[in-house]
Amino acid sequence: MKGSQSQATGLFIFLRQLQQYWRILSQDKPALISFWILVLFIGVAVTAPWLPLADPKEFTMVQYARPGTQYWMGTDNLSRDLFSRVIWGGRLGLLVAVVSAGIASVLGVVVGGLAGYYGGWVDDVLSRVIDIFLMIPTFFLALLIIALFGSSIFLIMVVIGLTTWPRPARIMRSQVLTLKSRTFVKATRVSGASNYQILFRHIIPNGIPPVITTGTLLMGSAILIEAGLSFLGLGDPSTTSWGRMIQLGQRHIRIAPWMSVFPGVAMLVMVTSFNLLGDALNRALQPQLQERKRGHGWSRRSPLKVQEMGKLPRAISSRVLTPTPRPYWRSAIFRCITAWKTLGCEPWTAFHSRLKGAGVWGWSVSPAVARAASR
Amino acid sequence: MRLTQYVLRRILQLAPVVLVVVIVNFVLMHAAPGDVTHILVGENPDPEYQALMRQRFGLDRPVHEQLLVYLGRVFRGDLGDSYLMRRPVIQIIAERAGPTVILAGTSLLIAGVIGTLLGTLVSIRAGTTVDVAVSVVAVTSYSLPIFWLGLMLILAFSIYLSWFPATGMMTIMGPEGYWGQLLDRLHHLALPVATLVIGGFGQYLRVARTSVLQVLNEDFITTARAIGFNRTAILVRHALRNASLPIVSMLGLQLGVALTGAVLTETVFAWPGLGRLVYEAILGRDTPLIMGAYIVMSILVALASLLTDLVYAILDPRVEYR
Repeated sequence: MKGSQSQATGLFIFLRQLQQYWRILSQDKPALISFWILVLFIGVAVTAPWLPLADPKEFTMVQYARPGTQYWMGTDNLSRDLFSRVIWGGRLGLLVAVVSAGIASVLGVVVGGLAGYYGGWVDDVLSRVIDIFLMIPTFFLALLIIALFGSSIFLIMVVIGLTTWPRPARIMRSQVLTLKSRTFVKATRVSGASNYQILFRHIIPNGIPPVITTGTLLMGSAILIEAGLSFLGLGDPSTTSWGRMIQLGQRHIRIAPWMSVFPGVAMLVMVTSFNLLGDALNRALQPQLQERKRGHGWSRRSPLKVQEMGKLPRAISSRVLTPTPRPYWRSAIFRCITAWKTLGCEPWTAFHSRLKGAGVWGWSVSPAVARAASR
Repeated sequence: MRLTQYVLRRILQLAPVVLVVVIVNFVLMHAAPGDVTHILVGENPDPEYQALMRQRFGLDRPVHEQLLVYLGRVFRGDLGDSYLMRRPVIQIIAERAGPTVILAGTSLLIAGVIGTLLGTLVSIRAGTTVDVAVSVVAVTSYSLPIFWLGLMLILAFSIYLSWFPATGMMTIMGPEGYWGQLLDRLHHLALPVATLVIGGFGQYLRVARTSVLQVLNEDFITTARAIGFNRTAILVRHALRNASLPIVSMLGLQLGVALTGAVLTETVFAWPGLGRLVYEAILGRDTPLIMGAYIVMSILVALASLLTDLVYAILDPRVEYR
């Protein structure tokens, strides 16, 4: 039963985090817009086979048709409908983005997690490896591998994943370094959890949010890398990809500029959306990066405002960094349940220790849960 | 002196990077499908002849010996011969490096200046609509597929408007004389540089904005404002100067991006540099050439990061020499 309980807790944390993300998003206009754009793209891409679209590989017998009511984005040199090709290209782009960013994130989390958790020589070696791979130009390595091993879309995705992992690894490592000295980790250690359990059940789930935002950014760059490879003629010839469409469009740019314009616009919108979204999440997760909401109010003549004089940066940052949890009845119940599920103690013990007025809230609960529950 | 020690140590740290690049190359070469000797002796060779060729190229020796031989050759600057041009790879790369350095260097500098200036200006207005708009533009800048941008610039400025030439580095049978040729080259340089600048200034803008903003929140800026220095003086003399370090380090990081971008840009504009060379090598399946270019570019990027760290150390006395 214990497994299903901890799964339920995991789901609980996940849902709470989603809610938190949503709250952040709804305050940031560009990020919100890009979120809906991505939802649209993903929706269209997933349902593409069932949408009333022309087959992207079918010949309509009208070459170089201008964009118009019949062919929304025109047709290409082989008389294929460009609108449907752009959508199918988006399908491939999203697949590449998800798979390669997924590979990179998982690899990065494992390597970074191990480096941060074990420290010592393990950390020395792994950090050096991460540093070295950060310095190697990613695109070239991908290019070299694809040029040598042939271009299948599967290989392209794997290679992009394997060449972009150091960024999430670095972030995970620093996350683990800060998390492993926290009280809740000590509590799990005392209650007899193994290293594996501590690292993969407790530390990594709590350190994952910044990796997710990096993953969002990696998705954008994965799309760009795949498109770049395809443009150089290293794309998978059996797929409909934006990069290959632009490559084809380059040859016909004088007759049919729309062949290269539309796939590029679609790619630009998608990658920009991924990047804006990732940036917004990043800002939200690292309050120390968040600047003051209002401007500095510097007109050429405006004198220094009185209230600005006394503000010490440290006072500001410390207030932003450590939000004090509000004592709230419902959250107390949440804490008891989560303490029960993650730590395996009886719920009333946790509750009781709260009533006794222990300095910490009941048991020391993992911060992701605490943060979620205090809202 | 500590600085000298630091420099030496950083150079030593560079060695493993180069080593890893070369080893990765070697592993890839050996893991690649197909037997190398098939290229030399044909599909259904005489086994004796094949064995002879194996022996001649050292392929019959154990792998670690082959690796050592390969390392030795690379460190002597011997990157093998190109299949296509039948000349040493290192020679071909040296010939083609010039145009790439011109292209990447010019665009890196222009993008750096534009991005830093815009970022500084925007940082005063942090949080306003202008700031949000400029930030979105910056993100768009580095989300641009650079080859597509180049294509669009060609479409607009050379096909429709015919202001700039679309491809090449100079006009064949072009103008005579030093100044005429220089102008002609600059004319050809305009579009590729514009492409790389538009695709590159966003990163500088972001970094400049963030770091200037951080400095603006410091006490000494408040003091300077309280004393009554004017805005420009504070921004340039105090804020930008203290914020310049992350921007400098960005310059080093961006070199790698610029070189990558150069492959795509040079392909679009038929610019006769390293990137175009890589593209030609891909088309001709010229493995030694691709690998040589990869090694050279990796070393260039590593050197750039070393140089950045050194500039960093000289600029900022607070940097710890570790």
